[in-house]
Amino acid sequence: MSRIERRHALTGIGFVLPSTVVAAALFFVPLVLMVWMSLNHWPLLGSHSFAGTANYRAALHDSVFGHSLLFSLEFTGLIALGLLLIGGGLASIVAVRRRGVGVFRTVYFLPVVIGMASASYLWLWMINPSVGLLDKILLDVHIGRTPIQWLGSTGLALTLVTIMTLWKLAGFSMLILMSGIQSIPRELTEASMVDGAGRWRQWLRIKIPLIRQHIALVLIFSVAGGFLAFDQFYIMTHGSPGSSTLTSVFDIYNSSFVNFNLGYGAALSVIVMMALLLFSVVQLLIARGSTEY
Amino acid sequence: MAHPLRRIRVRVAAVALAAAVAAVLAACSSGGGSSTASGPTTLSFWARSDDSAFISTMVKDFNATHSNLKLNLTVVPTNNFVQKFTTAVANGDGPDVASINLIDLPYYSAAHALTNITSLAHSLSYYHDLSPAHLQLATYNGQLYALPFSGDASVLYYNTALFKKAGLNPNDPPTTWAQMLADAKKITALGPGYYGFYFPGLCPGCNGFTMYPQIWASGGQILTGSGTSQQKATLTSSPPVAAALSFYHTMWADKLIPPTAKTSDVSTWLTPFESNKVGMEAIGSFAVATLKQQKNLQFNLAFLPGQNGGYSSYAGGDEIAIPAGSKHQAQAEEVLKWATSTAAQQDIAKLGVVPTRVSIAENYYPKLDPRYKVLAEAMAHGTAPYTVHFEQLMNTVSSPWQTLINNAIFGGHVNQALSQAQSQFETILSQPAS
Repeated sequence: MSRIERRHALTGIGFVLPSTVVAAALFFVPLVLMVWMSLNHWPLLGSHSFAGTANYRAALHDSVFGHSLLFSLEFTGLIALGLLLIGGGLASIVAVRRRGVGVFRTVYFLPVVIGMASASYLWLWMINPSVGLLDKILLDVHIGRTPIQWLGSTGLALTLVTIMTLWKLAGFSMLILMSGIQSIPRELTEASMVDGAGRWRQWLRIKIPLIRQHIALVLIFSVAGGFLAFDQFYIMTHGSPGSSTLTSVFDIYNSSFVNFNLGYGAALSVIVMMALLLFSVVQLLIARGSTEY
Repeated sequence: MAHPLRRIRVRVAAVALAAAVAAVLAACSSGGGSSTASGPTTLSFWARSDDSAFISTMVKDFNATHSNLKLNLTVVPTNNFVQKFTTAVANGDGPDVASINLIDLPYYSAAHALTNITSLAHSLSYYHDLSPAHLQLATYNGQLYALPFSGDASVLYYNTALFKKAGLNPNDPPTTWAQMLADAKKITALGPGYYGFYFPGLCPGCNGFTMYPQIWASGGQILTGSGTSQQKATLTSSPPVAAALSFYHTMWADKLIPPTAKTSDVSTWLTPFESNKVGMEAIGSFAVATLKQQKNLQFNLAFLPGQNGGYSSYAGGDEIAIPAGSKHQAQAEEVLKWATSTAAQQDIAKLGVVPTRVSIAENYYPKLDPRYKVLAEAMAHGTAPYTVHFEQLMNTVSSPWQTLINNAIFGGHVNQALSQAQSQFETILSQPAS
């Protein structure tokens, strides 16, 4: 490396170093601490003692945790699929460059900017059988004779929270996929039309493979977000009926701050983190693929 | 001569580095320690939102009557109080004084989170006038960790106007479960939208507060054994438990309870009764102040009955404690003395809350409203479960108690639900206190 190049490199490192140090401190230090806590019997109040793998062994027999992992997986699958389909649909609508499309992009994106907690409270009161808007509208148009207890059964509750989450995040997925669609060179789609490809063919064979990396990005966000979902379940369903809508992070919260067992909560967190890491690695490997023409 | 661009680059890099260092230093510096300047000492005081009917008034009165001591009140939402308080105390960031739900005291005492105030308590001239139920919950290993502050008894509220309309005598509330069932049926028969009874199905704390006394009054028990060890769950071995769950299930199955009960939580505890469409509801004394403000609601109070008569109540409420490691021990003790003083307890009574000085509860309090007599007597005859595992056992939506309510009352599988709850209780009870 020449002297000038080295100087450039050092300057670059100099600029990046402070934020790297902060990020490392705020990520790796708590991570190491959490792994250490998971190897201890560590109550929220009181002294802690080394416990080896006791917490992990207990987690293996914890049916509530196991169920929460499965439920999180189920929710994640629904969210990932939904975000791709709905986000993709919206993206194909707003990817055109036409007058007024900006209004639609804004409207579709608006739910993304309100916090998940605010959105959860909004929907919680909207679906309230006594004072909520949803049941009133349904009854007024004579769908059903009595107000529906939206949170009364596991299936209904899951459906509702899924719809709420999709409503909230579809705009974000739309944005990512839209930028992908807009980056497809027009010559390719025109060439395919000349070759006689219909709209579906165009999508399947040309557009989707070309936005593969954008799809992968949406998948990574939605899988991470879905698997780590907590706010909406804490606020809307409280994990009920029973523990049937308890997500993995909600169970970690219960273990740590309701049962006051931080060590056990840390062990569960490590397990969830490993699972997510595995997913992400698999997804990145699948999504890898150069944009071949 | 150095390249001009290099000089700019060096300057920019230097500024960036300085800014980063400053940011890191700022983050590392300890967050706001309260400095005692000259003037009154300010103590941080936490209370839960369930106390909001009276706590701000009480704090204002305290600040007005104390020149060298001020209380800085923080009202924490009840649902989050335990989490916030426990985390804060664990970090050493706890308040100087706190008003805590008495049911959580065994856990905090066992976890050494509260200051031992046994000698302070014994030095009070009115020590023997303090609510025995409160003192029992504040005792751990023979030592006292909090003083009684506010009382909250559970009783049966009934709508006297609806009773009259249904042909029932408003001065003759039900005294057995069979009578409650019959009265509920008559009120539900008044027409669509009218219901004989209500309870919030997703509030395990509320339902423990109101159902356990009905079980106790019938000779049943949820837990036996004192202290924190050797406690046994008696869900399957105590017949009144199954009887109580079946009784509630019958009311649910016969549609004497609004369907919204299944998914209602504590935020709607009072709403159906306030709407003048529900005949009876078991609530705490805290509701009197709110319900009295409903001008067109006529109600009276009765004891929570046992299966075949008798009555009991859940002696609840708050106690004032000093978190361990408090830096203002002496001043905090002043707050405890004030909270249990005759003046403060009479103020609490005027705000509609059951006082925890027995003499004031029995003499002064009932004179303020004839209905308070029931509350005072219920409080005096009440008790509360003593366990360090309260939160996990009975106070969250994923607790075994809530699961029991779901499966037995709403699902109707009483015996099956009881076996499941019994084993879940046993698992939790076998864990150490902390």
